[in-house]
Amino acid sequence: MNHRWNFDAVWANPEALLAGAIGTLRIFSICLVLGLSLGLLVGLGRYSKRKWIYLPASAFVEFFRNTPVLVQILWFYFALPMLLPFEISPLMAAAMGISLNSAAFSGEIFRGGIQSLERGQWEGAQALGMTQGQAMRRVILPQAIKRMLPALTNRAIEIFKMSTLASAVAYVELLQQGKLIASIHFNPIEAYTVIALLFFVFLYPLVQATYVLERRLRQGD
Amino acid sequence: MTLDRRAALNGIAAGTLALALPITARAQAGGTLDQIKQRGSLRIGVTQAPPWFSKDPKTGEWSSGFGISMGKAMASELGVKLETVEVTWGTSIAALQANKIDIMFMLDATPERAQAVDFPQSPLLYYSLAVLARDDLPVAQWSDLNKPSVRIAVPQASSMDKFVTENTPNATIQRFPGNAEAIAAFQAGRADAVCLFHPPLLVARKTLGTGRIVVPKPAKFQASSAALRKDDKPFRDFVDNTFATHYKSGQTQKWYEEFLASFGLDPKASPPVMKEML
Amino acid sequence: MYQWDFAPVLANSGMLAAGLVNTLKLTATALAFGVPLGLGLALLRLSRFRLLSLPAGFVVEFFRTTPPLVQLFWFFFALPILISVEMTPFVAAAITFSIQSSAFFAEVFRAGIVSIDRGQSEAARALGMSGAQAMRRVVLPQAVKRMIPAFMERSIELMKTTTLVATVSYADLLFQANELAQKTFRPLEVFTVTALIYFVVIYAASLVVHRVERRLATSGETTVH
Repeated sequence: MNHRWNFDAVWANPEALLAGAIGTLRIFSICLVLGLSLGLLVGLGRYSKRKWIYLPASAFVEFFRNTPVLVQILWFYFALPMLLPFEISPLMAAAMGISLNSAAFSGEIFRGGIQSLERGQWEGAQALGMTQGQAMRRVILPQAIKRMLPALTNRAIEIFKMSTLASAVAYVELLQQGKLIASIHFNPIEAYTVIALLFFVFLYPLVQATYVLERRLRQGD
Repeated sequence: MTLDRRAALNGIAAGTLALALPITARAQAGGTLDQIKQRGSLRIGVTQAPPWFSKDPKTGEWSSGFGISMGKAMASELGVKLETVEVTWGTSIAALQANKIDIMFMLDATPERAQAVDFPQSPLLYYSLAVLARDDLPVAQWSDLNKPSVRIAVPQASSMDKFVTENTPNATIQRFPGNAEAIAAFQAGRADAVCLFHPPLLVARKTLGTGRIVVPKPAKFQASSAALRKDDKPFRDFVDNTFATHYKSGQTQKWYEEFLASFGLDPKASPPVMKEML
Repeated sequence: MYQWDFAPVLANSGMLAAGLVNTLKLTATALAFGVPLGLGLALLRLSRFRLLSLPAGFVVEFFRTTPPLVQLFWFFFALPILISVEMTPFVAAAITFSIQSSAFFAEVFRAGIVSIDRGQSEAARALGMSGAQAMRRVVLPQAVKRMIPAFMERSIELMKTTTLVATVSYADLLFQANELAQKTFRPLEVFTVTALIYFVVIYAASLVVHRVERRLATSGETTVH
């Protein structure tokens, strides 16, 4: 193999990698917040007994869980602007695609978490004189959150990895910067290896932390 | 939870979402020239394709390339800033239609494209279509490439894509989003040849260090242009005028040579972009 | 008012159909290699020998933690330079997704095997079976039954993940959609139709998964995720 290794060209561009890292973190935090908060509403909607809330929420979940995120991102970036009078930036398109997908998945997590609690909790809370709303807020939700935390942290890690899809619409994040460096210096091996390692080094400790969290929560029961 | 509570929550959610997406109202009034003046910027489409457009990894700015030089000149003539929007060759027309950009340089005027966009009369510059081929691949004519065993990389929906699809249909054609990926495919040995305009191949060959650049016969020396939104005569006339002026004065050739020199290529040894200089 | 025009899309539906076939081909191939590879990785991870379990663990963690698109770019543009082997886009994509899915399948296998009562393998051993025989004849068959829903869900995830190949030159459904959108200048109609095709195919697959899950649940099998 006659390859001249060229890692220097990658490290010689710290500004490029930093800009990429900032972009990744930015879209990650936007999608995490939007995805989880919308997901909470969707989850509550799926738990509702009223058809006109339950059905749209279910349709939402089924549609956004069963279409690939990349297709959604491209649709928001190329197709939607034909219908709307305002512009959709790469960040907006990618954030919408990833957030809606995450909302659908986390909606199911929230729904499962709430449903999994015994009726006894509801009745106990009501016996104490709480309204339905108070019971939900002070008793059910906190306990449900404890149970849903492992699945939600997994979702968060998935969202972080999905940030790379934004490179398909030229949003500046880590992979997009890797592609830029590779195309200018013709060192794809070094460039993509470094990008992969950056993701690994950042996510692996977090993944391990979620395992620890899972074990602690299970012990607490 | 009561009906009102639930409905209110859903309503709040929808409202919050709407606020979370910053809305940039597209300039509605007037043609492209009015919109440009109103906005204060000329938006050009860019894609990583030296010597036409190149991004500086350090600053993240699209700071060099022939297209950037032409764009800056146009912007300053209009008294506005230059704004760059990243697209691909294949999506640049959609970007024009969706009003993401005002002009896309280096797009050839083809009948299919002319159905969706307009082109100025005056040419932007002239170029030859060439390939960068593996050292051991015998190429002298386009027909040499017209075999299934030959894998050619091209950017999707570019003029190279169209030419190769029509003239070497038997080859195994691989279509990538842009110049960079097509060159990367060649570098990785996934393609035996990459077909681009001659100048980008010079730039690639210089850094790659391997491969032969060939202008296969019959040689295609033709004009490139820029795509504009349809039915906008004032802007089209402006662009037409600008291209003609800079071409005749030799400024076009000069910008091109400036980029080559900055990249370490000898302008004298490189193909010109003016047909009078051939 | 936007003028919808689906005619160009319908006229080129053959292109999209060909893309769909390629998507299914890639998914099936990645599954065919990913499942056995995943089993191998899981067994290695469960091994008592650290020399086997640690590298296997690293491979699984690495491919689960790095984004699939980064992996795809690496296998597409970097690997061929390293090993100077000619790979068609299909082969490169198949390798990427086989390894990527095998990492996830390895975890499903491991969870399934571990969930089988230790008593089972001890009883098998008492009957005179070796460790490997106990695994093959007693533990694995039961574990596999439990893991079927998780497998099917993972497979559906895989089908969605294959859309990433549209950014390199493999002509799957999304790639064909890009081609068509760039040819007809009708991105709205093209991408809407494409999204619907994906939804119909994947939704149908997920309905099958739900039925299988319910059958297994009623037959008294517990399942792992």
